[in-house]
Amino acid sequence: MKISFTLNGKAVTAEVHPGENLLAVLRRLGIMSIKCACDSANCGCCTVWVNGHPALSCAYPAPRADGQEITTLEALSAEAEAFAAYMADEGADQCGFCNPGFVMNVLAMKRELTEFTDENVKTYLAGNLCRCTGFASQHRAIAKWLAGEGKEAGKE
Amino acid sequence: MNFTDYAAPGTPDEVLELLKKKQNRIAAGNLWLRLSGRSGGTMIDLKNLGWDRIEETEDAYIIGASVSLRALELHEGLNRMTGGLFAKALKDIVGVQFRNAATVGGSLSMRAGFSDVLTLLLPLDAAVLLYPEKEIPLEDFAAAAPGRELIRGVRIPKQKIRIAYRAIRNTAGNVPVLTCAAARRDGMLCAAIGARPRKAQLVRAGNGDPQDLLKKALELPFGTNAAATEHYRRHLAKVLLERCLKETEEGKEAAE
Ligand SMILES: Cc1cc2nc3c(=O)[nH]c(=O)nc-3n(C[C@H](O)[C@H](O)[C@H](O)COP(=O)(O)OP(=O)(O)OC[C@H]3O[C@@H](n4cnc5c(N)ncnc54)[C@H](O)[C@@H]3O)c2cc1C
Ligand code: FES
Ligand code: FES
Repeated sequence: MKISFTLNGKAVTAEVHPGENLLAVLRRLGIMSIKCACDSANCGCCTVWVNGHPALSCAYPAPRADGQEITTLEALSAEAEAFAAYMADEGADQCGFCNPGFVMNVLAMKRELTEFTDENVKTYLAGNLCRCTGFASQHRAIAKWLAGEGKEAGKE
Repeated sequence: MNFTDYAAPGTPDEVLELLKKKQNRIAAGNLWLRLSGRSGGTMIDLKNLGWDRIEETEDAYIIGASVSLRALELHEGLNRMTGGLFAKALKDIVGVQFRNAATVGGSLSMRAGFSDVLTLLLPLDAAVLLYPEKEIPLEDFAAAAPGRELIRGVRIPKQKIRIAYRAIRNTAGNVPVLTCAAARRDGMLCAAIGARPRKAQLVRAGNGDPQDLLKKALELPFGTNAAATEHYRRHLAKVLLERCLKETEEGKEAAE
């Protein structure tokens, strides 16, 4: 079946199988930032935004994407790069496999939350698993980013 | 799940028609469904039915089946009525991306033993709304085996209630090994204990006596699985229920 949706601001049409997930379709369209890790809605590596809200593309039915607005890291590279510098400074990135999904959720968090207490940040990012860093360095990077360049991130 | 067809009907009658074929399945958040190894049939998407809203009437909240757990977690009225309990009980279910997709209808239909949703809603005297029009007390619905009914929502009466919730997970993001909610309403005490690992069940102390409630809760069947033993679960049930009861004693009645 054919679906049409907006991908990173551009209209696209794709041929999809009724049973496939959005992740497979996006990778077929050349979007390589999103990763398939657990394939069971547990790890957050496949995070994209659907109409501006973070979603797990491994569980999102591809046909449902028809008419929706899908955003991936490719569309947010300037903001993502600025944040990634803080991650690099804190050693918050080792194998990097979790990184795109994590960054997508951090940028979503910046847009959605109004109070960035440790607890709010941890709860918001609890669905992004990282098997390398132990999370502490990621949280240091977020705190420094929010106090610096990140303050203005996501503001229209 | 490898569906061979996809449909997003515009009316619930069309959904019922599609459900007549055994292979066809409703897909809500698709989080649990996709883990089942079946193949074939039509994925029935409820997205065009308008069941993704929470309506407030004079005496109840009517929550559509397609409402996400995240929307429940953030709902102002439900949190006001329960002293913030919707946020507290749902925030530990995997992550925000997950709760943006997981739905109330999917959670109720599964009647999972580990369900935080079921444990939270049982003491609130909720009723499941089916299509064609039928209203079933959640307590009865939960006790039944999963069927092929079409859930259109859940109704939570507005009430003056003191309610507390606690759950224990072996690791963050995992399903709970015990869930517990306790509530005081009109001199009546009740509690729901779930993840025993059986599904949540309600016990009541009509006389409002906490010791009576505790005794009844600990008489429920508890069991062992890979996550926890029967003995550990019974112990957790006692500790969590005592803490919840203390909270309901101390806590102020949340605004109606
Ligand atoms: C990895 C993982 C971890 C989880 N952890 C927790 C946890 O800690 N606590 C917790 O409470 N829950 C947990 N859950 C369950 C989760 O919150 C959802 O309840 C579950 O995914 C089902 O919701 P869904 O919207 O995804 O439904 P789906 O997976 O789409 O559907 C589930 C079932 O319900 C049926 N169904 C869906 N909607 C309707 C409807 N309107 N009428 C009739 N039938 C319907 C489907 O046909 C299917 O049989 C977990 C699930 C997963 C996959
Ligand atoms: S690949 Fe989607 S959550 Fe892990
Ligand atoms: S850096 Fe390796 S999983 Fe996160």
